[in-house]
Amino acid sequence: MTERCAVIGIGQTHFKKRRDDVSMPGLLREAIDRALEDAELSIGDIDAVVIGKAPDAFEGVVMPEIFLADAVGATGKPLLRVHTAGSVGGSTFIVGAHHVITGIHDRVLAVSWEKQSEGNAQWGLAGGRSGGIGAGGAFAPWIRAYIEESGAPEYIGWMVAVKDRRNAAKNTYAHLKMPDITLETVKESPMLWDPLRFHESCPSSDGACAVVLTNQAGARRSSKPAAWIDALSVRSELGQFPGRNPVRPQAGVECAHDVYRQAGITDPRREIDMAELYVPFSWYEPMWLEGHDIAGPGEGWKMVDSGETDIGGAFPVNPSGGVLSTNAIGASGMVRFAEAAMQIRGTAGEHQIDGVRTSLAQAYGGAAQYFAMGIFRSS
Amino acid sequence: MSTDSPARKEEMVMEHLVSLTYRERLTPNLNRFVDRILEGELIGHRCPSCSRVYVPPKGYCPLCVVTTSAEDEVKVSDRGILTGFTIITPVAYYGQQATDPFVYASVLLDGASTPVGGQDITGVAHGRIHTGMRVRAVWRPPAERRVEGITNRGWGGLDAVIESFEVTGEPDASPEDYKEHLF
Repeated sequence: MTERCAVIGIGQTHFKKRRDDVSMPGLLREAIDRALEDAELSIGDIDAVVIGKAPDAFEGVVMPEIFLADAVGATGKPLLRVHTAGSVGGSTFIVGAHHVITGIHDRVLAVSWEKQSEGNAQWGLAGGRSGGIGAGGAFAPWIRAYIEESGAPEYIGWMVAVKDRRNAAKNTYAHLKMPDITLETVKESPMLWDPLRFHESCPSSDGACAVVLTNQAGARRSSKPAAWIDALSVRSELGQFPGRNPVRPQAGVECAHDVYRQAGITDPRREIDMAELYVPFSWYEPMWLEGHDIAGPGEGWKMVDSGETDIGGAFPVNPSGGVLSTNAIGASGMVRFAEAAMQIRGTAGEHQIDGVRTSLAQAYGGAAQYFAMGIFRSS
Repeated sequence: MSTDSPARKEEMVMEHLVSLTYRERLTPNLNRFVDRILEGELIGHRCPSCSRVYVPPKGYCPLCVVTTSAEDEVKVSDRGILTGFTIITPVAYYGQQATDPFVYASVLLDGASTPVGGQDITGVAHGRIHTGMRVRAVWRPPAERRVEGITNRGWGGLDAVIESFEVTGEPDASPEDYKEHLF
């Protein structure tokens, strides 16, 4: 790394089922304006813009980077669009940070979004054909394999759902806020993708997230604390091959080990203070705790069971409420990075955890085949 | 005027449904696969380097990074093991015709190294389906077999040739037999 990179501005829209009050460009601009205000900069100060969203079929707007160039302040500047399925928000953040780390640009704006109400993600995933299985249908067999292999009780999934929805109630920007949700609420909700129930599944949201990234000189000019990037990594693998373990994809293992190595971390469970993990379906919390070697094999669900991943626990996961509470697909990966950075900067508001000095962000996509991870530190 | 009033909202919605029909030329490997399934046979390619059998034939082994051809063709059984599944409650969207819960299962055919995904399981109540069950293909009558849904992008569309996989009642396979070939 020739330059250190810091997050000095973070902006999110309010995430809702429908944001009829704004157009797609307006939605992006809402997040961008908040990020610029937080960074104490104007759009003219930005050198380059990186944007990312999930498949165009989700809204039916093809190549949105072309018509959005003006709204995102990229006219006359470098503009790149990133796409890595559900992990795209994370990889968009990383591509933006690489512009700073390599010394090419001083101030980079990265923004990602989805306006799912303008289309139908299930239709998009099914290619318009009948019998679409949705993301839940694709992941459910692997979740079943995890449950069978680990022997985890079924209430673990319900516990994650309750925790994340209650956490979301503390987050101004979150979509689903259910402060009174109980294990019973989840247990009695309809079975959607056996063994996943309705309340164990993410919603479909409209929203955007933006970050302003800069180098050491840029961070010095900001009056607010910065979140410093200590590690970034992206890994991918084929969606299917003989011997593949989709419950613990090798790309996810290697991505995690790469960020731990870069940040000098040997015991992630102790050395990392909190994590924002991409958990669109409840069981992915224990699955990623194990899949990224934070917990040993069969130990991830025990961290959930003991309350270790609660806001007050020893290893809080998704204090923002996570993807389970807010899922504008393209934005979801970047929200993980933004929230992990906010925890470092002490700007997470009601869902702030005390004394966070090292935080982890993770996003995954496709058939659990794309991974984007990052580690933030306070200095 | 409030943007939340129903009348206003209707003005904002534009129904704009687009459909595309396109034809593509199947790869020679898939073409042979299609010819054989119309005759009620399943084939794959055995990698000359590692002996893994890919069904349908890909024309290469992604693990050894070697090409495979008709010379590597092998016949596989239409019986196999249920390695993974979910039962899906259909969500309504444009074009969705499914209304009742349906099974979405992976079946590892005897002699294959990769399972075929997206299969229906019959001959058993949904609540009794479990991994490891032995199943066999229920072929549609030859005149009713359709292959339009099979594309170069993957192996979807098999259901227009094989209606479902029916449980055979044989003893379950041991997880050791298929754990390296789950997905």
